[in-house]
Amino acid sequence: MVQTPCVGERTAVVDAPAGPSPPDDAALVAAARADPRQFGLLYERYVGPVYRYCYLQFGARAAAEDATSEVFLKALAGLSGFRDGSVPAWLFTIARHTVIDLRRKQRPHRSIDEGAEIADRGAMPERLAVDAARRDALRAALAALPADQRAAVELGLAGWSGEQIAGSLKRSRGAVYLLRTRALARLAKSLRRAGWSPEGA
Amino acid sequence: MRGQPSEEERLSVYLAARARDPDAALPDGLDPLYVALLDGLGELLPPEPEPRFAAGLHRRLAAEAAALTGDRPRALAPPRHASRWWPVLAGVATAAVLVVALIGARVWLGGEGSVSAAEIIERAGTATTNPSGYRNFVVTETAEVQTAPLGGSGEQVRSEVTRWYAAPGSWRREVTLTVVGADGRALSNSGLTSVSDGATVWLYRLRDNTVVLRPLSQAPGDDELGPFPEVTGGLSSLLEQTPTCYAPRLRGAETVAGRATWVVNLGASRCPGLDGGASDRPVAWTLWVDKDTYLILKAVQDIDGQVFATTTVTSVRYDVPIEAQRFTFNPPPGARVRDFRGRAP
Repeated sequence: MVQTPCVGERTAVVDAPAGPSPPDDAALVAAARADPRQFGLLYERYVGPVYRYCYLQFGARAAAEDATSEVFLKALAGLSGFRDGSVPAWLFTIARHTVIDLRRKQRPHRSIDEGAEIADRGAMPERLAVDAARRDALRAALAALPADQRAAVELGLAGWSGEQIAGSLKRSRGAVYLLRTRALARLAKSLRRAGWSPEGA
Repeated sequence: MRGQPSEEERLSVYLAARARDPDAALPDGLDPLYVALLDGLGELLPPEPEPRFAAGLHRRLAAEAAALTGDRPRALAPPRHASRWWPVLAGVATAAVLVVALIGARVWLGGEGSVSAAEIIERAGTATTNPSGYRNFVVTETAEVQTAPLGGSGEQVRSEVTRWYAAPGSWRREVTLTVVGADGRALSNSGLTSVSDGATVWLYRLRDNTVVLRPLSQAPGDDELGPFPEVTGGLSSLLEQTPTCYAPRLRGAETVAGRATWVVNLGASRCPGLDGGASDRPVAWTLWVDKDTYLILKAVQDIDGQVFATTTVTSVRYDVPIEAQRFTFNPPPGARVRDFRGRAP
């Protein structure tokens, strides 16, 4: 699976070349609906993007694996209910609901304040503590974004192509680009308030 | 007259420039914090799924898909990192259903006497291909597959199959399959019922409340959902290849489902491409063979001494009354019915 450039990656921020073309997805879905054993082809294509999206939600491998398993089991079970449309959008919808369900059962992520506490404790080398606090602050700011802006950024980080993100969010690619830009502006504003500095320290 | 560009416009310019050159200069007026922000987002890039996890989930989905179709798991396009193990699981699933077929192949092959492991396996092989000597049977078997020895994350796939059969072509097969997590909680349940009245086959999937109708195949052994589908490609193949590829040893005697059995250890295959044989972690088989009928009542597979699949007959009854409605199927209310009886096979 080709991981496409995304927001945050040093090499590219704008939309990458489109991912798998819709006819391919449609053929895979048709094959899987006719014979569920063919679902493996669809799974292979999307396990990476779905896992990476789930990982971003939980920040932990075990939770991401649980969520990814749930997503694909639900997708397999729901094949007959899938109507013609975007497979990434379908999987994203399942993933989003799955994450919400699983999150209810888990303790919340560390907040910005808790991250600052880590930095203050000095239990680890100062630099690591500061980096960890900055990452926590960034994650918290990301989590506080409006849902569509957050999804636009996170799906990009997870390696979904611009076309896949647009399909998932039911927006045009231009609208997704705008969402990302607004999300970044909002993130910057939040992080300024959280004490981030341009120097990155 | 156009005024100063907004922050978003400056940011767009910077994003486009940065896409071409990671060290692109910030446009005038844009907060340098954006550089740190984009670098910070880069640090959040999630990792790829671990191959072990991806392969384990692939197998689990294949098992689920097999339950949906009523077939044994077969990955038509397994991931490359999992392909080495796929034949193993296919063998497990085959064993899981084959035991039932072997029970159906009830043949009297003489008394116990003194018999070698090789003879027991030979007679068991004969029993798989000469189903006769009964009018009907009801048999239940369970199978349990541990994914950990196969590189999975500790899940178990448990299934139970109950089969009613009445010669010549009436049968009912009910399958339940549960995937249990490493912590013991059930992760998913699925079920499938297939019924034949000798002319029509009903296939019912509980999950989506769908019934598929098709004509019963007239070719013996040609119907995958019939009473003896496994004979053509399951343990019968293993038994046929035993003289060449395995070194059977008589390990003792035990009771299974109330029946006296011989325990025969086949070991691992010496032949390439057979049930994990010639791989770096070959699969070893142990079979429990009915002393009376030479039917296989239990099969266990292990890797490096670690059991990962056990299939056991828990109940078998021959020539018992079976009510006629077992061999018909009435779709439940609201079920989607798809009738393929008028189509060419």
